[in-house]
Amino acid sequence: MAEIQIERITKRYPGTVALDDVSLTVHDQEFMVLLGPSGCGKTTLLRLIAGFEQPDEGAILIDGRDVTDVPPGKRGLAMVFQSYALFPHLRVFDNIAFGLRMHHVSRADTERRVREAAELMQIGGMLDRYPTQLSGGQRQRVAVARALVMEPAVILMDEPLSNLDALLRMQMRAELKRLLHEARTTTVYVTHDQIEALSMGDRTAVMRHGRILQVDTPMMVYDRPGHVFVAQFIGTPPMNVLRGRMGEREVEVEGHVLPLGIQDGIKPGDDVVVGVRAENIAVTRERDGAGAGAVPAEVGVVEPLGSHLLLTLAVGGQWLKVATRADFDVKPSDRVWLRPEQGALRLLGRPDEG
Amino acid sequence: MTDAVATRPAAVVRARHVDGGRLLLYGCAILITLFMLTPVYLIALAAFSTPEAIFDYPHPLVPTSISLDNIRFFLTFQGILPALLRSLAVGGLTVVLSLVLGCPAGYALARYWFRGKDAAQLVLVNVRAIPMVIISIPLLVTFIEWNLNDTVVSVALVHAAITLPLTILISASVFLRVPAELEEAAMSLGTSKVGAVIRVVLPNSVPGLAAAALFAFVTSWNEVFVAVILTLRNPTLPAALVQQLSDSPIAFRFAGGLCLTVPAFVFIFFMRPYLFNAFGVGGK
Repeated sequence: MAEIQIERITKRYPGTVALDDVSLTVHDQEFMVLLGPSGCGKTTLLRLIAGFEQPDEGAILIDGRDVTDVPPGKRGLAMVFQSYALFPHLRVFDNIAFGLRMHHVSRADTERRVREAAELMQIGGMLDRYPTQLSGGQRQRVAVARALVMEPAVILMDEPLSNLDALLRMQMRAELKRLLHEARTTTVYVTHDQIEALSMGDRTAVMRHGRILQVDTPMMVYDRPGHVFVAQFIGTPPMNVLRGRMGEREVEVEGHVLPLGIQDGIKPGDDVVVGVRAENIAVTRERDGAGAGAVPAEVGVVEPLGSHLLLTLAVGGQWLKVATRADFDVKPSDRVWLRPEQGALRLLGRPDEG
Repeated sequence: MTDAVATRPAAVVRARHVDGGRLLLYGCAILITLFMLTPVYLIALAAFSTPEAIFDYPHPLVPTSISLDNIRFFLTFQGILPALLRSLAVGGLTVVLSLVLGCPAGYALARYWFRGKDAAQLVLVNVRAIPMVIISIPLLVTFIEWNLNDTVVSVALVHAAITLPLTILISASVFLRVPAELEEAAMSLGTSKVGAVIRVVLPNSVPGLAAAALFAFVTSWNEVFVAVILTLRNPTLPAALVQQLSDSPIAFRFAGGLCLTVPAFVFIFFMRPYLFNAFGVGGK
């Protein structure tokens, strides 16, 4: 049982504000991903939760207890570092046992728990080795075992998969997700990889410039971004963002009128940005096939990606990407017709809010 | 040991392609070794000769008549053995003092930013520029007031002061190599800050700190000036030798020279395995 409450945290470094009045609640047993580009404050936030740094303002509560001034080892949490931070002078066994010994767990219990954690991470045969004798993937497993063996209420992970090669990363992603679900811990996971954020997290907090822009489930963050930055940071390819002018219940983009409901804070006549995912646009060669409200576009680039075709298209002076069938017959400079699917258009706000 | 295995294929490749470069490397290494060891060898040769054979000319380059007479004479000479033991004590105390005082300072330089940090580092280096001649007399007066003159402690204190700047700078660079994340990992697992330094940082700094210890010991072992000024009836070995060498037989001088050299070599020999790691060669 552990709920983390971050209450109005501000952290300044000389010359910058790393975190600017950030609040966030991570529910018990939730897998929360902090996602953002480098320098967005996500690692700083994690280090504040861990207790390696002190906030200038605000408080951090774990299970209702204010831990802002509690040292890292007494917060009931364990951390997995990007570099793994294995102790080079200790064998794998002693690395995993380190925390148990610091907490004066009996010798027999230590032995049993270390072996269990090692079996769970499939490194049971490597307990006598030193970290330098392990591959990157094995070190990663030791680092996770060292955290899990503490049976912590909270696990913090700082880009734990970023030093693995692509294939291994994909395997570990699924394995970590399963392990952490079974361990029933509350997890805060920092990454700049939006695929990890979408695939692993119960919820994702998207950060930029020391602020949290949106906290939502992966599907919501992907499908209903509340901010232009979120729309363009998440998804491969990122969401298409187009400038237009708002009408009563439609938006005009490059002279074409598309149906779109208005939102609070926006009036008819305002300049707006709208977003639409590449896979939510139908593309046809003939105008008739597209039906009413079709938008003409010129093909710029055709990228076959196996499962589908990724087209880069020009609509007036704006570019967008569209995913279509792999067998769609098209080449650069062709003219095609586009029609966003019903209800796929998202109003992202005003252009100056980017 | 794994590193050694890992580098072997690279070494094989290098040997095949750049034989000339390797030859040059080994040639230079041999020349440097000869340059360093030839005088030591000649001293040893003379020290183990019979007193008469020393004056043979041309002198043979291999031992013809091995004799321990010179060494025995030297070691049993009035005050020499106590001086040697005193030198060992001063060296040991110097190592302890400079590590105990230097490591925390080095750690602070490695991990923290503080006002005047750059200036502090500059001053550390420049302390070596102050001539001992100038401060030795006030030091002597101070030690007399403290009742410390002519003791092992007084010499070790000054030797520690001499070696401290380098100990601090060496240990700072050693601690810089230990990632701060290791300390944080230890702290997140339940150690205090100090506990993390003791359990994680120090064990991973042994090679570099061994180098610092080595430097401190050898500096102290060879130091003459301060030892002569500060001691009278209880000199260190170099101080004793300086006082006696000029009016001693030449065989005595060679034996003394050898006895002065050997302990430093022994110390380096035992520190060598730790030193290697300090320069990123070899592994655990």
